[in-house]
Amino acid sequence: MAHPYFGVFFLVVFTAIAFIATTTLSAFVGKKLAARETEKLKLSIYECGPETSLQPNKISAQFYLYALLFILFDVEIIFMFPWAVDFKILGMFGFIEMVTFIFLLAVGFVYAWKKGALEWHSMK
Amino acid sequence: MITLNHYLIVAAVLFVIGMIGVMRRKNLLMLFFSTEILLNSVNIGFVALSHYLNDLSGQIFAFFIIAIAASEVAVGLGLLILLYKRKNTVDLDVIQNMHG
Amino acid sequence: MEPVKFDLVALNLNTIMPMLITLGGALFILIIDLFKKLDKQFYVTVSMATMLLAIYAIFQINSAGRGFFDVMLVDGVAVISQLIILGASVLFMPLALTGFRFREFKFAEYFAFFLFMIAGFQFMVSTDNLILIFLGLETGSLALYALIAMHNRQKSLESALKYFTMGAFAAGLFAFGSMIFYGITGSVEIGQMKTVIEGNNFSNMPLILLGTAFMIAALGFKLSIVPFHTWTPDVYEGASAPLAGYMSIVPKIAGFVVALRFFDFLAMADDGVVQTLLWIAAVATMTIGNILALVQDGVKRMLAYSSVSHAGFVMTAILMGTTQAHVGMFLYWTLFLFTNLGAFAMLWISRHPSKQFDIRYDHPFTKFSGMVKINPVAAVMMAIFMLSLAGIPPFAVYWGKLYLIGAAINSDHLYLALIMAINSAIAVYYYLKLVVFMFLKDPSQNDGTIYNMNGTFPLRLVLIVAAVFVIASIATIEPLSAFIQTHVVASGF
Repeated sequence: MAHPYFGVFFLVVFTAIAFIATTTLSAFVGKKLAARETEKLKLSIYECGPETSLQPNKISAQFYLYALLFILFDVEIIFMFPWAVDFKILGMFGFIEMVTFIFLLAVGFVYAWKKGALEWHSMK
Repeated sequence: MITLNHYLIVAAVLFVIGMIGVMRRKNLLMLFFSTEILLNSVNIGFVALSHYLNDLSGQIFAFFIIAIAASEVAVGLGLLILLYKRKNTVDLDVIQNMHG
Repeated sequence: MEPVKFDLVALNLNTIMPMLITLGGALFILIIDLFKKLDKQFYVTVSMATMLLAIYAIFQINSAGRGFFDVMLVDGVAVISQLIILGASVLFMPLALTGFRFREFKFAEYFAFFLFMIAGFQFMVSTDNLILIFLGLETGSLALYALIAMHNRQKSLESALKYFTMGAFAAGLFAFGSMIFYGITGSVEIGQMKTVIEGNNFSNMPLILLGTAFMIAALGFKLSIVPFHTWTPDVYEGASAPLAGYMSIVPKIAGFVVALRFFDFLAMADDGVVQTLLWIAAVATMTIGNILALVQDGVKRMLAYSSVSHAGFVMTAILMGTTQAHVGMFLYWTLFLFTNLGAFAMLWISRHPSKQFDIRYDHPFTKFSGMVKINPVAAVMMAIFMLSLAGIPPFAVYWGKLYLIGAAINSDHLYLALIMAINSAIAVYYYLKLVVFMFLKDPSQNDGTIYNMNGTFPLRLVLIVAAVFVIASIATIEPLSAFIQTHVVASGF
């Protein structure tokens, strides 16, 4: 243990082994616990009634677009925090840089808006 | 007492978890999760090292990794939606057409 | 604390001007698309103008050096590689003006993404800060995934997903490798890393090796170095021919420049482990790429494996580490650019937007059988590019091969030179296979127009430019290598 980073070195190998062991174990346990072939009959619908089918995906793709846009604009905030902390020291130049940054974000926002990504029912 | 090594070990463990997740590549969503774990494990390491070395550039790197991870997911999810619309699945084995 | 004083002159805005121009062009295209629907001719014109302006801006950088708080590093290597990137883009862009209508060119986003991608790779080559390299790499790659997926084929989406998977993994590896080097040296700049690591005389060798392994893997995915090359043929096959050709040139030169900056000092370590690693990677890449190319049925897959092999060939320049080798690397890549441009443009010009030649491939070898009898001009063109790729004198790539093998001999890598020569000989076989198909077999159909059915004037012009350059390379090789030499020497590689 002479070197300060020796632990990392060792643990990369160790965790790899540990992870493979756990995944194999969980696969094994999962196989044991899962519904067996013989139970299919027991679980099937009795005598009559419609076959229960999986509901087709009814969620509008619009939700994904919202999520995507949210992630993108949300994450960009982190670049404003360091600037806000050192606002006074960075002075005018920092301010101009941040305005440029926000302007670029605004271009992206206008783009998304104009393309109809923010409208609920457009679904192009 | 929690030292630098502990943070680095957490980073390494998470990285290996993410790496195995990427290598299994069954489900596309799982693959995205794995890449997020990969990149965020690096963030832990960077911030810990940055604190240890008393140098800010590591934290700046972490900021940019967060931003990149977000845009990567955005592009990836776009591809995923396209795949789902065409094939009705997110399983990577189903779409395998090319080989040789 | 006192407010920090910023000086606009000290920023050295010249260094960032080429990227600002490409980014501005991309934003302009995006914004104008919101208000007015325009056709692809307009977008191609705007993109071309932007790129030419950016090239002009590169020549305006007279004071080579740092800018933007020492983040930008525009040295000779950055200038040459930016010129290669922009030059390749200028040549590949007119391929969008096809005779048939393809779906992706209807969208203004295609051209905007293209320019964003160029800007990303430009940033990647003109800095030695790992943060900016990472940002540039991802900007370029993410735009490229989207570009590939826009092509209207089932295979394109598949190949975009494959490339995305690999690229995301490579990004993780790159970040982790940077973290290890940051831990060792306390800096994210390659120049300072070099100072620190050489200062304590490679004392942390195990950790340096671990970091190097991550870096080789991360860059190896981009450069398609064996064993990280597995995505290459599938992605090239699924992407449209211009993008496949583009992928074999531009992301790779960007990757090579980063590898050059990064491994140049690591390969000079006394015990030579890194050098051996690079040696094995380069030799394996060119040999395995060649062998796999031998057994392909599709021309595009064959070209994909051949580009893997060419990447391995150029990889040797980094492990040699001499000035001659580095000059050879850029020279080779410039010559390879024109040749590969021609080869992929020939495939593109024979593409139909919806019909496929046979069930499996767009461009099987059999498609080209007897081509000389039904379309002699196209056959001769294709043959020139194939002979050049094979390294047959006096065509372009031959000079590159000669230069690199000479550099290997001069730096006492005799075995390496021998392996390179043998590999060049193997490569001749599969390129000539296509030539044999074109010139000696009987035609499979009577319709000669299928070989240029997608052709328009701009496409033919690009092909003619490529062919003229390939043939006339014997005349241009001297000034070209002198130009590269001055820039490479000026930046100390």
